[in-house]
Amino acid sequence: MEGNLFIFDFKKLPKAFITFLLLLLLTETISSIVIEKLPSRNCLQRILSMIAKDKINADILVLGDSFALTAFYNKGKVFSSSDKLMSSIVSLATNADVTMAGQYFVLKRYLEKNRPPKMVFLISTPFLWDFTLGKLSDNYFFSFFTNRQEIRDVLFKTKDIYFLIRLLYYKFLPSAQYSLYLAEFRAKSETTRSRMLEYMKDSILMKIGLQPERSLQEKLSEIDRPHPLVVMARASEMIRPFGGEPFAAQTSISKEIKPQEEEKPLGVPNARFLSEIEFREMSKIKHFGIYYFDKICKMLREKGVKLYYVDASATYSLFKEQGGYFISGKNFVKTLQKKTEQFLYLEDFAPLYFSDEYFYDRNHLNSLGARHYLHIFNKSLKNLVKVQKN
Amino acid sequence: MVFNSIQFTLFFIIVYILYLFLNHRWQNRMLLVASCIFYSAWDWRFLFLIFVSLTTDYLCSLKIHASDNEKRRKFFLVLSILINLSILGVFKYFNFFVSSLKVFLGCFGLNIHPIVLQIALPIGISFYTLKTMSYTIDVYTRKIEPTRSYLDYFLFVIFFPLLLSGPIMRAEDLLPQIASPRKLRLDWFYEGCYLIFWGLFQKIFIADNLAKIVDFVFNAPAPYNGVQVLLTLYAFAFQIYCDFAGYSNIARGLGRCMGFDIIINFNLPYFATNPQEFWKRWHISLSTWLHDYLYTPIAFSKRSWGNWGVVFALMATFILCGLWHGAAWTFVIWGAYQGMLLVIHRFLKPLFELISSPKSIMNRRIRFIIKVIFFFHLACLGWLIFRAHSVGQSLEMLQALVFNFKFSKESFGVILNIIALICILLIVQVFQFIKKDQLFIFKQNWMIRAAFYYVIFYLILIFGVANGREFVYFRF
Amino acid sequence: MISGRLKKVILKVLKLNSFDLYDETLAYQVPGWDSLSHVIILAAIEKEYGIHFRVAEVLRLRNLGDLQILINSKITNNNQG
Repeated sequence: MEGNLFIFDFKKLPKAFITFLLLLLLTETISSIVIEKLPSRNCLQRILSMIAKDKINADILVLGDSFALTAFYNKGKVFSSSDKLMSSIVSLATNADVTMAGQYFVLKRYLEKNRPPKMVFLISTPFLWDFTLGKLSDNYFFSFFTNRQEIRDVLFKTKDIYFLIRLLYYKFLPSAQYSLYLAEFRAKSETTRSRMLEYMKDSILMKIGLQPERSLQEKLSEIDRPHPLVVMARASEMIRPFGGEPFAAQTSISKEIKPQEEEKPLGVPNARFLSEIEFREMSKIKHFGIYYFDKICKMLREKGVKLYYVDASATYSLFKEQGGYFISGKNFVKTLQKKTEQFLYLEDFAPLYFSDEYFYDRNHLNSLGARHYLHIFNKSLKNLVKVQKN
Repeated sequence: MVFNSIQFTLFFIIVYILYLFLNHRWQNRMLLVASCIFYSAWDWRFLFLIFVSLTTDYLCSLKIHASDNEKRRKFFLVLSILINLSILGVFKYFNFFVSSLKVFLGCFGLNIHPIVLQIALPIGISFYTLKTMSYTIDVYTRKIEPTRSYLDYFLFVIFFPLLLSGPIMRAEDLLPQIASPRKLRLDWFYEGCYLIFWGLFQKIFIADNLAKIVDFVFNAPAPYNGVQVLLTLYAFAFQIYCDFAGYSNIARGLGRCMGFDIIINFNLPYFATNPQEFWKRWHISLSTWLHDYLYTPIAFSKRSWGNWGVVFALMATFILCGLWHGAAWTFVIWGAYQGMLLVIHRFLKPLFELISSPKSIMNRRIRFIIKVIFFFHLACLGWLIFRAHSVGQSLEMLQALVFNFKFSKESFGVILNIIALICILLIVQVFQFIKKDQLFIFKQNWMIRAAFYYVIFYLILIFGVANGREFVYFRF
Repeated sequence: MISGRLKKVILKVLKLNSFDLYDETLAYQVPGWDSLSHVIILAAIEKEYGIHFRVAEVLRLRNLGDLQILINSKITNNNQG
């Protein structure tokens, strides 16, 4: 039986390849140092670095995805309340790409460094529950996996070898992260790009001491325009823009916002309660999301924090697409409650269909919509505080 | 799985490690199983289809060879071709045919509501069908003898590096390599790795980035800007070349690592100065297939028409070539355009030869460069109709080229972008052309190579497009 | 061994004064013999020898030697028939 003939010529050592590997090693070592010093490239990193550096100690936390970002655009806005206890609300909303696991890890890190808040609101959208590892962008999902325990946790849950490979790829080739910076830059609109560069320049200057650090309040209260690290959904995703700006300048911080008229929600069209199987297939909710939501509930339970589940509002086009999730709104929550620890459901929001003029695109509010949403939120919050007092 | 994916990398590493430890017979069996797995990763149901196609040809070929009766031989040849073309026709062309028929009848006021087949296009069908048909035809013309080994033939058709988009190898080239043990050499391994690396660069860095520029313009509605259209055509010319040549390079490299000699499919096509030369350099395996199995029989049967026979054969061959590329009128028109270029060139060639060649080397080189640039633009014009969504869009773009040719600030940005993407390719290819060696870089000293690998690696890592787009040619 | 008669036909169609043709010569090594003139040359050969090629036979040709053998077999058949 003839074996394979691997004719190895020792005189021909792969000098080029070895030199290349050495250069690679050198470059990657330098990159790993440089990357750590680079400023945040997206909102998730920004929030994580804020948590790592500053003591925030908010009374109320808001978790959620880009919908929450549009609704609570005044990060750190102080809602009017006569109660000193409820004096600060901080939004830790990032985007749906981080999935429910991301919400969990952000909250976990927050709680490791700050005192537990009085309440936590999770603004739920169908996207937060949808999880397909292969579809997530490296840009967000891998941003927080620096902790071995977190990595092990997700790995055991998903048993996904490609996830592990992608993690190792970014770990051993830190230069690959430059491409993530590029991706973020490309995703911005023309106007935001220059602001992003400005922001990064400022951050670097602050890091090397040529510019004074901003205070926490300053960081939290960027009210004039959306933060340059926030990416809105791209026009190429064929979302019909309904107009209006995604964020609006809010002239005063602490005044309660009142819309022009009392808007009633459009009502729940043909709600029917689906069986659990039907519903799960329609709404693409995966066990992964429920697993991490459960962990959030448990974690908050242990710290004696109340968790409130809040529905995001939606347009008809989103409703048509994610029908299963919305139709069985209450049923979904009931299903959740069977599977996870007890949490509280804010029924005021369930479900809300605003008319299209409140939306910037099919699932993000514009400035008018944000004001309206916050108006409802404020009312609920006041009631909750009152109830808690009594 | 596409070549530029984690899945394929893992797949090939496992396959290759097994390959190194198995003996010849088991290597073939393992490659066969691996190729089936590779194909199933796309859609396992179409595995059945490829099985039907190749089994038909295997049996028909044996029958043809076994008989000396001309009628009987022809019968099995025709049977095999009919079955192959029917499969191709149903899966690829049915909807196109039906919708064209509907439009045609609509001109006469007849409205039909035909059924539209909701079936996906099996991956690689256009390629493996040509492969199996060439085998049967070669057996019929007694050019080769059919193989007795069903497994060898199965592997010949489904060999995974060639499965998705070629090169379309002939049985006389590939079957012997399958049938006999292959030597594994370290220098071939290095060569293979180089080819894979360079192919990945062409695909991930150049083609996929150019695709963004191209898609942006072609997905936008009219009206168009002429300069923008022209730049987009340049970008597409390199996109389709790098996509396809990159793929072929990877296929060659994969084969090389395993001791196979896969044919070269692209030989610096944009250095061609006329359409005839172009088709000797572009998609070589396809053009030789078309030449041997379509053009020659057609031209030969029409030889009594003299020059008109050649014209007829060229046009027929290239219209079919266009149709092969896709089930749409844009491809057919592109094919006709290429055919027309060849016809015009054939009749102008004697006139060109009357023009004397310049005396000085410098003038000869300048003349050559002008010819290259001129022909490149002719090719780009062809790419316009090839890439357009519809005939209407291509007409609108042509209109823009002629009547709306205005420079804007963005144009400069796009020019810089394109140059940045292709400059390394151009430099490498100029050297490859002058030295007439596609492995020119690979043969340089180790310092140059190390620097080259370093630059290419980081370009792919930082600027390469991840979650790669699928290769342009495999939905064929 | 390529016959003088065949050489004459080929050189005439391609308008060449002289060129050495051997058994192993491939068609496209001869200046001017490309896929387009291929068919013209074959038609001229048919006319010169009064023979008739079939497509299958033409597709099988690898080099000039094959062509000569084919022509010889055709002539023999003609003489016999």
